[in-house]
Amino acid sequence: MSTDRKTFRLDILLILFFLLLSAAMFVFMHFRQQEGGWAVVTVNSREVARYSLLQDGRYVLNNGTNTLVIADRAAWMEDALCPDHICVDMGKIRYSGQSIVCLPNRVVVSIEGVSGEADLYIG
Amino acid sequence: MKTRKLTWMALSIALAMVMSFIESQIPSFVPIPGVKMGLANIVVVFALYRFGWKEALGISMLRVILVSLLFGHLASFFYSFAGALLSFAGMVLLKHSGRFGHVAVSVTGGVLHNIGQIAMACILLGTNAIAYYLPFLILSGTIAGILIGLVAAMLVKRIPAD
Repeated sequence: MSTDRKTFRLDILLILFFLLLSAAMFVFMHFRQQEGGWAVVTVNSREVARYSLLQDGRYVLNNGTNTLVIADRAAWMEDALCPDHICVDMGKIRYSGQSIVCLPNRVVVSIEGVSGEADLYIG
Repeated sequence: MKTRKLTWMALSIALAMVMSFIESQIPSFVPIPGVKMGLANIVVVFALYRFGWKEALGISMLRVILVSLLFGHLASFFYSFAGALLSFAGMVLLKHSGRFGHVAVSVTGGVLHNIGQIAMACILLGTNAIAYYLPFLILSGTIAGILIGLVAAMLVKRIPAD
């Protein structure tokens, strides 16, 4: 019985450890977030395009498997030809470091840079 | 004795595959790649306690291979394989330390499965998106792991050893 109680306590501690770890990461990410400058598209681990978040547009990626939309300094996947549609459900991303991954089509859209850099590039 | 064990193994693998299939039919309610309930891990955790690590490893690996062949594709095989292997290593280590219970073992398995899977995906897709997903994966792995661990503990207790 006593060993049961002991493992129970350690189990709770381990669960708390994981919960606190993820909470700490959420907080850390929240305070570090910066508006990004680019939506970088990679297909099969190769960079294929780089769009400024300041320029609204609708882009067809990877021969039509995914449709990316950029508006209001955010990027999101509007449509995808895959069964799970996780990338579409992920919604909008706008902060540097965020990304949308479409595993079935091997398409990744990541936000890079900091807002403002993109102005220079276009200008 | 041998036939009995063979039957147990075959049933376990079949059950783990059914769990994977059921899970694949349920739409994911969290839009994060890699987030899973891990129903098949009920069978793996049960086997780990009832039969031992070799048997549990066999069940886990065969499930990944068979499920990928039947319902998946090559890429999904690599993701699941990395997840299953990392998760298994963690669970065995924790169980053999003798200090933790079923739930802690299952939680570690859940968290590591999520991480292993998405880490492999990031390697294959050449991106470091994992940094952004990590807190979601740890949180969801912990919650799913608690539930799976409780079910597995109940099964170990209620299904009599022969």
